[in-house]
Amino acid sequence: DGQRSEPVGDQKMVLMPCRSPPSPHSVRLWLEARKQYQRLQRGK
Amino acid sequence: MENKQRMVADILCEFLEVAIHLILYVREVYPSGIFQKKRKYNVPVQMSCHPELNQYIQDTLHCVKPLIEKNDAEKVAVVIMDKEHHPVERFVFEISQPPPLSISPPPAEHQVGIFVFEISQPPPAEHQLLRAFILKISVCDAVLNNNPPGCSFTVLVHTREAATRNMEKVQVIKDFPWIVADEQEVYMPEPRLIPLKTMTSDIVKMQLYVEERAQKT
Repeated sequence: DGQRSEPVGDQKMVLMPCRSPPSPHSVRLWLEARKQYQRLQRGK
Repeated sequence: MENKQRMVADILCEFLEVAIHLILYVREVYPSGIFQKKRKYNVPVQMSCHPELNQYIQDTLHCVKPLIEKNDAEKVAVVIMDKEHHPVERFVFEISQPPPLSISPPPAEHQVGIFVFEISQPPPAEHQLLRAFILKISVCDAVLNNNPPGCSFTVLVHTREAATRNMEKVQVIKDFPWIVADEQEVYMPEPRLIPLKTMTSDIVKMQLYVEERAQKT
C-alpha cells in the first residue's frame, strides 16, 4: 500500500481483544429470562 | 487535518458498529430475538439489544478508532469461529485514506464558517456508499454456506507494531486489553473469496470481502 509509510523493522501485526464477547449460550439464557420477565409483567 | 481524520474515524467506526451488529444477525451467531429493527443510512438494519454484547462491540471500536484516525488500521476483520475457535468466515474491511493533499473540500452546503468538517452526519456521498455496504451485508447469506452450530466471533485488526502505541491509552481507559492473535485465530485453509463491495470517496477507500472456509464442518 503506497499510501502508508512503513519504517524499516516496523512489523505487521494482527491484534484481537483479549476478552471474548458474551457466548451465544449466555445470550440465549439472557433472552429466555427477559421473555419470562416480560410475561410476568404482562400477567400482573 | 486532525479534525478531518477524526471525522473519518467517527464515520467509519459508526459504520463498523452497524456492520458488526448486522453480520452477527445475518450469520446467526446470536439468537435473532436479541436484535431489533432500526434505521441507519436510510435502510432497516438489525441491532442487538443485549447490553453486554453492545458494550463489547463499542469497547472494541473505541480501541480501533485511534488506529483508523492515524490511517494505521489496514484491515478490520469480523471473524466467525467454530467451537474449536478456528475461523469459518471472515468479513474483511480493507480501509485506507487518500493522501492528505488529495482530500478535496466538502460541498458548500456542508461548510459552516471555517469549520468545514465539523459535522455529525457523513456527507451524502459517503452516506450513499455506506448504505450500499449495509445492503450487501444484509443479503450476503445468499452466497455463503451455513455455519456450524455453536459459532462465536472476534474482531481482528491488521496494523503495524509501531502503531499499537496509538491504542495503548484507550485500552487502559476502557480496561479492554488487546493481544497479538494466535496463528489459530488467523489461519484459514483454502478460503473462498467473495467480494461484496468497494467504495472510493474523497475521504476514504474501503473494500469489503468475505473469506469463507471451504469445509465448515
